[in-house]
Amino acid sequence: MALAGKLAKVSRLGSYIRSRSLIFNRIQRRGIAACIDPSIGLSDEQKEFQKVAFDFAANEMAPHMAEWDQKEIFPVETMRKAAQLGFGGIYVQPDVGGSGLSRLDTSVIFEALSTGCVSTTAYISIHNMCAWMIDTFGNPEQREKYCPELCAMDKLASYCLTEPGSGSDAASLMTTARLEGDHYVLNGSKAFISGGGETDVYVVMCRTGGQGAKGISCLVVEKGTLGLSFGKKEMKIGWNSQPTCAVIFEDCAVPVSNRLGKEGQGFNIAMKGLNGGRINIASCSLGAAHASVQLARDHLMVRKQFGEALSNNQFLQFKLAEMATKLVASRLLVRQAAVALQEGRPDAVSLCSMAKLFATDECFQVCNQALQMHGGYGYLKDYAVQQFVRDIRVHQILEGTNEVMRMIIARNLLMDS
Amino acid sequence: FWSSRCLIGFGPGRFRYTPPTTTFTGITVKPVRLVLRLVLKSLDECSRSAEKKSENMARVLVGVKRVIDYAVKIRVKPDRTGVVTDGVKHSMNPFCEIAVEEAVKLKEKKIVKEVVAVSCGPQQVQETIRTALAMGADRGIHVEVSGKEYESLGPLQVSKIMAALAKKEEAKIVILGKQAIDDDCNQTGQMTAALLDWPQGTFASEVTVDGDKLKVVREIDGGLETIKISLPAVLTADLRLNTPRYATLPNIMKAKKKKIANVKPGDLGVDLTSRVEVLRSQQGATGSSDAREGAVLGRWTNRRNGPNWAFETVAFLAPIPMATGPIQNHDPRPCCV
Repeated sequence: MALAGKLAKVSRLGSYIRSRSLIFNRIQRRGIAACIDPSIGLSDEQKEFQKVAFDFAANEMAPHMAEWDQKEIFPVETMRKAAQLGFGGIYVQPDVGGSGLSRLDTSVIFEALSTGCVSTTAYISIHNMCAWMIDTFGNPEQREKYCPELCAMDKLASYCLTEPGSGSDAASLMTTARLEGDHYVLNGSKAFISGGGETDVYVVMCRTGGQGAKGISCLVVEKGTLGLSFGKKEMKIGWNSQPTCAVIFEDCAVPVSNRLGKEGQGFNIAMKGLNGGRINIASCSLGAAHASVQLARDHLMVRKQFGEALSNNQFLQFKLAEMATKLVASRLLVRQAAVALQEGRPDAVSLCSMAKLFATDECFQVCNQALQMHGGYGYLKDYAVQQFVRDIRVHQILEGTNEVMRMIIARNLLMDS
Repeated sequence: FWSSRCLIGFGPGRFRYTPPTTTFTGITVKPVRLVLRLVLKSLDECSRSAEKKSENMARVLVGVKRVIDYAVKIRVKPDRTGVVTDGVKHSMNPFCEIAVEEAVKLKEKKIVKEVVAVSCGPQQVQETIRTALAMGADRGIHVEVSGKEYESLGPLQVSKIMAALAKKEEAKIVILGKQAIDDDCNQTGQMTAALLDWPQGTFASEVTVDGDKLKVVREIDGGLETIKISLPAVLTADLRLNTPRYATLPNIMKAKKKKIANVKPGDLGVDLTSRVEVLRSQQGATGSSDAREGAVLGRWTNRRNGPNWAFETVAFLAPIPMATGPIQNHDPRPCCV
């Protein structure tokens, strides 16, 4: 599919040999690197999913990722194309338009898509998380109303938990939702909302009851509701293909029928959504690291210094081996966490936290090393490796900082004592 | 006014006598009813003949080949008998993808009823057939060929298999890719047509149905040639025939339930002995001015012992590319197994 697409751009004088040689100037050929192959250990069906995702990433996302980053374009059309393939609601139930796949399939797909553009894939994963929350915790009317459009990406979603005053301490959020008749009136603001301003459906955690986590409920707010406004678009060092801005509620009236689950269940819903979200973000890091290792490897084979290719230098060989090991170790942990979450095992929450902590940290190191191996060229925006580094730096911060991940794991370890 | 008259003509009251009255245009109603009856009759005949047509154009056979992925760097085996295939990423031949896409498009236009994907080889080719099923083929046929026979499987043997299957499945159209990217033979389609004594539309860049014939626009060295061939026919897909679709996640899951039948070449009465012997494979010289990547040069030689002729295959393979500028569009897909 990729070859046909690329070959179609070549002139019609059509000797296949000539058209192939034109392609080789643009594509790098890779040798046999079996150890970091992401399709090891997958079932045939999962390999097919991965193949589609890789082809989509190579054809539709990778050629544009630099432009999307530079011009800060939110690629809605490309995401709609992805949704047509079923990527809009990967783990949403099929009866409302989702694909009904497992968490492991989701991780595999996002890892593959992320090799094309990390930032866009990360947004798609956030969108998937919101669609799943409405699918799992919504009543039949809410599911029918929102999920089909979300799965087709006719409407886009954002997840609103963080506030200017409460990031890691999410349970202390202060956006209030006062019950007035059959409406909740929201007052407050949310910060750092991915897709804010351009998305249509906002899944908002707000305080309907008393202090702490038990007083938080989850409301679905649609764009255009009176009282809903947005702050300025933030300027970030990465994740530039999705807009990030504050979401402001000023006496914003939302019908009670838009509440997901019961009053006081909001924090629980938010955390359950985040468990999957953490695996997805970790998967995006994996994809970026995989692409960076391949880029570094290709560069080492081609760049010559001191009379020989860099790939003959033992230090760089060892560095590359360490990068590959970190990548495979992270991948195994993320996939294990995905399986645990799918099966609903009791250790799933800690495993997801471990996976997010380990994968995001290690993969950032891998991408950083890959940039170092490129030398001066790694610092130029012409080369893709710098975008991977910038894009996955934030994965160590959002969806629960890696410090909060350590808190969750320690809490689980010290529970019995 | 008109519609009420028509209703009288064809509704339950159609046998009620109504005197011929003149309409405001001066035409009497009776002939109008006659005309309408004739129109309906001809529409009926059209749909019946379309059904007959669709019964005639029942089945399309598409051949797909599992080849080494185009982005993998090929390595020659140390004993120079061929290229390394173990542990190397394989995928469907790109021209075969275009062929499958064309067959699925014909099915969507309701010109054919069923698309059957065929592949010859060992167990692994089932992955390729599954990819074809995920793109929209209805069922698959896996012709089991393994070991020595698979290594010597060439266009002549495959075309014999395709011809036998086309007769057995009563296919009306056989669509193949124009050539495979591992051997660049460009022979299977033509040989299949010859064995079946069917017309062939090779290097097709556009295929349209014209009554019970196919209009094929072929890409030839001089430009574009348009031919009309009658059915049944063999087509080979060229690059610009279409852009293959991505398999969607639901289609991949549906493909799991579609059947792949296993067939042995002996059951089809096909003899797989090869008349070609590969003498040697070698890497092309790096930096040679005649760097024809992926091209295969061959030479006929006379040999006293053994087959009457032998084809010396010397495969020119790609030299290692040197980075001359910024690495802009990286291809992130892994090409490892």
